[in-house]
This record gives sequence, structure tokens and C-alpha cells, in this order.
Amino acid sequence: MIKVENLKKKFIRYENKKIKKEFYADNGITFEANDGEIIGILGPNGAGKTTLLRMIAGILEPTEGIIKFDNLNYKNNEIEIKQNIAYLSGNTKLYDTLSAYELLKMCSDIYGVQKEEAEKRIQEITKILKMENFLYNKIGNLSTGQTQKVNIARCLVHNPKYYILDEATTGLDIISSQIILDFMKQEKAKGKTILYSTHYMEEAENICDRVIMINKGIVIKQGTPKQIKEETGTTNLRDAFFTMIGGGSDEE
Amino acid sequence: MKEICGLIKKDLLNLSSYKISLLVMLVCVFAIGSAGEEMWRYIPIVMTTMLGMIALSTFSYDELAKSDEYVLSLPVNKKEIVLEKYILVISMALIGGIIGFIITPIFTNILNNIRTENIINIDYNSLIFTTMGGIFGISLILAIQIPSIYKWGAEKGRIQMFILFFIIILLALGIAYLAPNLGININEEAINSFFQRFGILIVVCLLIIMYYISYRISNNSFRNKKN
Repeated sequence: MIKVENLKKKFIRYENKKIKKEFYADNGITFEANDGEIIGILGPNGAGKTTLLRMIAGILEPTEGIIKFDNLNYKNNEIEIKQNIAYLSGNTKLYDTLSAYELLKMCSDIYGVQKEEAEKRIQEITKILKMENFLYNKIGNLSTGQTQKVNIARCLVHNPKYYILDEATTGLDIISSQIILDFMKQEKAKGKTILYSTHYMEEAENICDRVIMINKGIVIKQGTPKQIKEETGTTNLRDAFFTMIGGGSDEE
Repeated sequence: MKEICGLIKKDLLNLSSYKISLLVMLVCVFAIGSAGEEMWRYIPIVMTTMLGMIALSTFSYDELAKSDEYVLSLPVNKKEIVLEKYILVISMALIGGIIGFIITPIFTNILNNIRTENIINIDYNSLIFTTMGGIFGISLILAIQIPSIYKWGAEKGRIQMFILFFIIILLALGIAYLAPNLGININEEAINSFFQRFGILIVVCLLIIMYYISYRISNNSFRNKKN
């Protein structure tokens, strides 16, 4: 279970060379994600989704607040937690000069997976994701969909318990996005916890057990898609979101 | 430690694309070495510089792959991420020096067998001295270069490197030019004998101090940059 309590992250923005202004990208976010759940983190660009997920993945340090993974925290159990996390973002690129196989071997080494076990897992993952045709090709020569498969494979290699996916389908075509959505469903069925941020509300509505809507760093609503739609009297999450923020988008 | 080994492996895999460039550079090194009777001295220096600089290019690979985000999510802490780069860069520079030290006599021997009229005689004390000088020189540059890459990135860091080279050359030329004009007598023999006696100790102590300071600065830059 992932528990996030009153999470805040303060950044400094330079208005010009002399004037700097402090602002909170996330300001008191609280939620829980149970085992076997897909939690959607929804909101427009600049809402604080990426900052939130980066803090949960241990990439950024929170200014304030608590993050717990089955009662473990980053202060005392950073390595233990990270052993069980897979972080995938839309921005993550891969090393073009390596082959998919070399990259997966490298990831296994970093996660301390035993040599034989790693080899076995790579072969399994290759089969599941249908990567046989390009496993030994250089990543720089792969198509977007194939690269995304390698990205997913890299997340699977150490068999994590938690997946943190930040806008992982943004900019992908319908087939490549589907690869990621299918992967999420499969992992959920295995009891894994998935945090998934997106600004594609329809996508989230279809796949997420619960959603957390954030705007300007604050949680404006959380619950199952059905609950949110009922409470806001709308038929889809997009309308629900606009109802809650008062009709207009005000991105920062 | 296994995580650091994994990161080193990643960098070495990235550097494997330099195989052909390395071979070409090796030919160039031999060409330099055969250009004159005393040119063999440059082989260990060039080898150390070459491998040290190649190790630095792993920063560019990381930048191109936007790997910071990914690396930070791995089960390694920020200090280990910085430490790994230092281990890689120092090891590569040292390996360059050792390779240079080993291949210089082999190379000159081959050359002496081919070119019997211009026999090259290696002074092994001088070879040790040159190799150490090369390692020290490149280590000094790397110790300054790494924190600047962490602060400004690989691209801007490269500009800093050229500026640094320029300053070092200017300083060396300045000292060589100014010393006689100011009446300072540089006794090369005394300097050589001093360094031959205490060289290793001084070099090792200076390197430890330099890298300790450099590592601390890099660590701070990396921590601040990622927060």
C-alpha cells in the first residue's frame, strides 16, 4: 500500500533576474493506493502531477509531508523502497547506442537480479511483450512503439511491486498507448499497485479503479470514476473536472 | 556496491561505441611517438588524456538519454550516482596511464627493429615520471571539469574545459617567460630530483585532496539541481 499524507513541494520561480517568487507545485496532497489498484492522477498541465509522482518515486525530495510504502519511508528505507518501484515517464529516453538486450541486462545488474534469474526474466518479458524480433537491435533504430515496449520491459525486469507511470501514453499513437494500457491491466491482475498520471480523462475513466483530480497543486476530488460522475452530476470525467474548477481551464 | 557496478557497466556499454575511434587514436598516438627521438614521452600523456576525456563523454550520453530521472528512481542514492562517475573517470585515466606505460617500450622496440638508423632509448625513470605527470595533469583537469558538468551540464562544461586548457597553457607559458625575467632561476635538475624522490607521495596526496573537494562540490551541485 502507498500512503501519501499532506505532501508539499515548494519551488522558486524567477520573475526576472532579481525577483524570485516561491510557489507550491503540490500543496498538501493526501491519498492512499491499495494493492491491486490502479490510481489515476488527473489534472491539466501544470497541475502538479509530475512533481507528485517524482516525489513518490524518490526522484524529488518533498518540502513537507509523508510518503509510505507498506510502512517504509524514504528517510530510513530508500534503497528498499526503490528496489520495489518502477518509474516510467513520457520523457524518459533510452540509451540509443545500446541494444534492448544490453539495456535490460544493465537494469538487472543495477537491481541486483542474479545472472541466471535475469536471463530467465529477460526471455519471459521478451515473449510477453513480443520483442523477439528486435531484442538485439540498437534502441536508436527502433520505432516509437518498439522503444516503448523496451521501456516497459525495463520496468518489469526486477519484478516491482509498485508502478509509477507519469503520462506514459502522452504523444504515443493508439497502438503504442494500448501496449501500456494492456500492461497496466496485466500487472493489476497480479496485485501490483499502479499510480498513473494523465491528462487524457477518457483513458483514465476506462482503466482506473479510483482517480485523484488535482488542480494547482491541490486535490479537488477523489473517488471512483462512477462516484465522481454521480457527485458532480456529469456523464464523464472531463465534464466533472470542468464542473469542479468552475468551467474554465487556468493552467499555470 | 552492486548498484554502482551496474552503473559503471552502463557507462562502459555506452563507451563501447568508441571502439573504432580508439583504434584510430591509437594509430595517431603511434604516429606522434615515431615523429622524433624524444616523442615517446607523449604516449602515456596522450593515452591518459584520451581515456579520461572519453570517460567524460558518458555525461553527454546521460544528458542525451535524459537519464537523470530514471537513474534517480533506481535503488542508488544521489551520492552513489556521483561517486560512480568519479570511479569511472579516475579508473579510465589510470588505465590510460598504465596502458601508455606498457605500450611505450613495446612500441619503441618495434620501431627500433624497423628503423635501425634512429634508435630510441627509453629512460625508464623518465617514463615513470612522464606517466605520473600525465595522470596528475589530466586528473587535475577532470577534478575541475566534473563539478562544472554537474553545475552547468555537459555542453557548457565542454566550453569550460577549453577555457581551462587555455588558462593552464597560459600559466605555464607565463611562468616559463616571467621567471628568467624576474631573475628566478628554475633549476630543472633540482626540480626533477625533488619530484623523483617525493613525486609519488606528492601526487597521491594532491590527487586525494583535489578529488575530495571536487566530489563534495559535485555532490552539492547534483543534490541542489535535483531538488
